[in-house]
Amino acid sequence: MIQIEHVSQRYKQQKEDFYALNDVSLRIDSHTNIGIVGYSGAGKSTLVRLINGLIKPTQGGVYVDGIDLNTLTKKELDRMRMKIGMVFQHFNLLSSQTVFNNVKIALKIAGYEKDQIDARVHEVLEMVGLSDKAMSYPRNLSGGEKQRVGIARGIANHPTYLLCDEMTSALDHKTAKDILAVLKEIQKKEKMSIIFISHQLDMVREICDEIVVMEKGKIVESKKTKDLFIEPKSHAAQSLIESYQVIESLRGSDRYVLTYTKDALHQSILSDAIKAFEIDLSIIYALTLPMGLDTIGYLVVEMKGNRLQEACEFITSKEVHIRRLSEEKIYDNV
Amino acid sequence: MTTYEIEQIQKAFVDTLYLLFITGIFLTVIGLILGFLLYFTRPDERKQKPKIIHIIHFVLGGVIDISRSIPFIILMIMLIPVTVIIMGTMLGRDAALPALIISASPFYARVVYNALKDIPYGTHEALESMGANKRVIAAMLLKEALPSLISGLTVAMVSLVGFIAAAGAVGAGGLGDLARRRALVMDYDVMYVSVGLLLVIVLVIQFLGDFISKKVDHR
Repeated sequence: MIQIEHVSQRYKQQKEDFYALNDVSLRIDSHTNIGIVGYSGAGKSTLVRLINGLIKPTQGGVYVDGIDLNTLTKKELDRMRMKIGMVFQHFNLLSSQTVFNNVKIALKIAGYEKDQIDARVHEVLEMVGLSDKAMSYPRNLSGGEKQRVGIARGIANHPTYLLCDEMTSALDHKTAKDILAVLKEIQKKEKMSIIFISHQLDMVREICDEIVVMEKGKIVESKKTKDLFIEPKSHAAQSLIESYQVIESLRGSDRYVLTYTKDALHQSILSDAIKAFEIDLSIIYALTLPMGLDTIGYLVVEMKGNRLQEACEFITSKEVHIRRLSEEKIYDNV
Repeated sequence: MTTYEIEQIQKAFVDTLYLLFITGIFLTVIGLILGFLLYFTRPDERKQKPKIIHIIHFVLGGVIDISRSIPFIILMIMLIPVTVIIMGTMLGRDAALPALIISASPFYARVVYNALKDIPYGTHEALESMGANKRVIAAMLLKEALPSLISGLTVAMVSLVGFIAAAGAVGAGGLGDLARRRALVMDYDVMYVSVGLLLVIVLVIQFLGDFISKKVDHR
């Protein structure tokens, strides 16, 4: 478990001090994947670097598995870092070393026995699908391949936590999806918590159980991924969720958005409501998003009828979330 | 050319190579040590380093730049008392070594520092995140910077050839000194041969430097 308690990170600047983080507290349970999202400058990268002590906070404490990083000597901190893998946006591979050696270095640092190193390097390269490129140099690899090496290096030493700093942001959409698939596959074999930082919320939702939204050095929203997609409260989250933006553009009188999860899929909720409460309903827009093991669906509809209120209550009772999309943007739940 | 002249040229050639070789070793070692010291003590807004580290960086950089800005021939004269203490004499081949080393090493220290600074910070950060200690980080950064370090060493060695010619002024010998002395007495044959040999030395250094630097470059 990682605990970040009342952490502030201040940078001295000529006029006014700049707070990269401003009194941030966060708890990351073991065996959960957590996503940290926000626009650039929100403090995400700083936050993740606190966890492995690359940055020391100006104020506050960071505890990894109950150990206060502030109390560690340099040597103890190095040992701690071996249990926390890290994958970077720009890969940060050693250009002078082959793919094989780039992974090997992590194991050498961690003090593996010589005969174990080679076997493990081959094993992780196999996992990321790069066995045939072991003897290549990074410059001969594509971006996606470089990031696979980055992942292989990050997980080689069986870390408890894997910090992913914008790991898909320098890649095109398809390659990014492939990399996520590799990561998901690896997580099935190697148990670890992934701390995934990104401004691409739609990447994060595929892999994270919980999402923390950051803005201007503060955490503005923190909830289960599903809940965030059903009802994003913070401005940052709303503007980061693409589907939310699409739905917002469909505002109009008598319009509502119904949000549901997999549980509601096999019930005839809508037709029941139409029959029972004699409402008119037409579908404007529909979208389904896979979300880890779950699925979330959005349905924008126009509903009219005398017993609309009752219909809405009925639908809500079936675990479907209803939000009114009136013409002016106000937040009104039915 | 007489046998005597040929012998003189041979001796001068050997002297030049000797000075190049010995100074080359010292300047590489000292340059690397100072360059790494500069790198690890550099101001870095990502990390709060103790004030003393900043002071070390500042003083070290100052000393390096001051010794770089003193003209070689002046430095040599200034160093005469030191040379006498260290080498026991102020004349001859070995007497030129302290001045050569002191004037060439700071240049290479700057080359090393710049080569290290040019490595993307992410590489350094990645090593740190794996739990690497300073020694491992230094070793890996050395490998990353190797192409620049070698081409920088090539430049340093070539300018060293010029320094060694100037060192002839204190009787250090060498091809440059021979060429100068013979030219003064209108013996142009020996001068041309000496200058020709200097040219060959410079070309060989440059060729070797370029070749090796390219060979180790995987960037």
